[in-house]
Amino acid sequence: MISVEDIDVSLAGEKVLEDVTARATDEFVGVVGPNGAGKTTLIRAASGAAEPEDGVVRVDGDEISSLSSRETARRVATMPQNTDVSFEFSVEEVVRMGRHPHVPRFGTDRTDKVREAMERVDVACFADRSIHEVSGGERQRVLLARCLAQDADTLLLDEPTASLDIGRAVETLSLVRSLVDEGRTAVAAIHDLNLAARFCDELVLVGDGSVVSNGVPSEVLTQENVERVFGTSVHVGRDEVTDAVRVTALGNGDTVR
Amino acid sequence: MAGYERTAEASFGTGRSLRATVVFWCSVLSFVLLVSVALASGIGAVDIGYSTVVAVLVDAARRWLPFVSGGGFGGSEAHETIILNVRLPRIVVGATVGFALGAAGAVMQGFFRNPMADPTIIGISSGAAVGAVAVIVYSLSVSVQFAAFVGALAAAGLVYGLATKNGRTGVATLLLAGIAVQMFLGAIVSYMMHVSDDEGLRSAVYWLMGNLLYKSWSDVAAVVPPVLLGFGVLLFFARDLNILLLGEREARTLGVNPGRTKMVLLAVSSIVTAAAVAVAGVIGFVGLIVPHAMRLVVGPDHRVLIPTSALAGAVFLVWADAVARSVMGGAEMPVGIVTALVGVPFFLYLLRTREVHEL
Repeated sequence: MISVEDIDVSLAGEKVLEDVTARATDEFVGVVGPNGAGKTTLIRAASGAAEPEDGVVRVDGDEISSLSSRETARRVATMPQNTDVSFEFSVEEVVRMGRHPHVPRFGTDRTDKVREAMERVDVACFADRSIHEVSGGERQRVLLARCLAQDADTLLLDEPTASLDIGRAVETLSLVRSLVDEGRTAVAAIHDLNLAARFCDELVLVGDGSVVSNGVPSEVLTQENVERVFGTSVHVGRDEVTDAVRVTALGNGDTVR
Repeated sequence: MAGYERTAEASFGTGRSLRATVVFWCSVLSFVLLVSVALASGIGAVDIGYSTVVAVLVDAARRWLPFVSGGGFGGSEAHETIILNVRLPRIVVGATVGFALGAAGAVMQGFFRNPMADPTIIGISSGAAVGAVAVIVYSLSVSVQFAAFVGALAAAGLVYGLATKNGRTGVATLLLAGIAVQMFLGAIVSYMMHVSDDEGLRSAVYWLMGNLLYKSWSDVAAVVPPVLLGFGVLLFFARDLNILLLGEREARTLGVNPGRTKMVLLAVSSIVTAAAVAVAGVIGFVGLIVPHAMRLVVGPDHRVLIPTSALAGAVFLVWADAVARSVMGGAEMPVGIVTALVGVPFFLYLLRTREVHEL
């Protein structure tokens, strides 16, 4: 369970989030909004990586600022958009880093979590390759595997599907969905409104640094909300296969067929 | 599906466990180090045969360590003096300095996330130079070694202070502040040498080149404790350093406190480097090429890389010093010249072959 309450966050003197409140408890919450709206900053603030000037972030009811980095990492696993490893670590070594908060300093990890995580995200087949050699999409799955190995109850994911093709994107979000169904909490910044509507229990629509709407996808992704936040005309309907809300951008000109 | 599972099995089955890797490489390198020390004891102005070297060393070991049996070969007394009081302390100091520079170099390269970083990058050698040259030129009544040690830590502290703002220390800022402070301190050293008399100038230049001449057991006693203690602390934080390679933000989400970890790593590797530079002057390239080469052999994990770089650094410097003692017949060459002559070509080779695409 994770919540941000009335937080303000500034980056380089500029206010990026203002008075944002959101929470997630045993559910899959998607953070949606246009580029630069503050989705990534919200994820970072929730993970403790960006410190809010005002307001509090709570994990399982405890203020995150009162927890040690190690304790926070046992409760919250964060999947960054990308990673920049400076040296030639193997995929398995990167996934194993997820065990860091659990394993004592000179101890050995005796659990099977690393292996399970790699198999679940389907990266075990290239476990020995260098993290520099794998493709952007594969690297993103490696980071998700690291997140799973971290074995935290709350997952924060920053654009987990950004470099994935449609098949892998759906697989990844299905995996997150099943993790939530097993009792975890997940919050993900998701670029694609239709994927977000299909997989998330609730959505938080962020526009220009504040929450415009939150609730179940069909309440959040209304034509009015989406047009206002994204500044483009849209059609909102239902997907004929999944029955999820489907947003089709029409653009501002007469681009409608 | 079966094929996929087999691949997964294989990839897990082949890799030795981390602990086994550490034990294997450290045993091999420790053995090489012991043999190198013994071989190097025979090298120098006076030629001493290896049977004599072994006899003297075994005799000495018997005197100090009651559980070593055998021996009693008895080399001549003169040979015994040369080996035990002249060469061995010097070799042990050299090994310790190499050990320190190798370990600190591995840590600094990880810290700066840059395979071209050097343990003296944050002004340590320039600070040490200011302290040492001031004592030499102005004949101050403190030891050169002490002044160099204090100067080194003061410079590192200054660089750290300059790069820290509101409790945050930027790695790039640290690098640039280090370069600026090095230039400034370099100017001070140049000034002091400029106003110095010829004898002072000669000693100062000699110190700056890095050398292991006239090292005694008291130098061993001064350099070994800080280096070993610091090494222990660095090992303690080896895994955190691995995580820190991902960048501060990511490290925090994996349970590492980046601010505290960075401060400890920087302070301790500075102390280790300062102890080495204080006793032996500026010996370049050991801290740069040894961790670099070891990374190619054992991989980037600092739990393996730090101890193996330390041991390989010790071996490297023992041999570099042996070369320095023997190439010019009776005359000695500063060991810093040897390490640079060997180190630069190797560095350029790496630059051309491996690292160009990463920087």
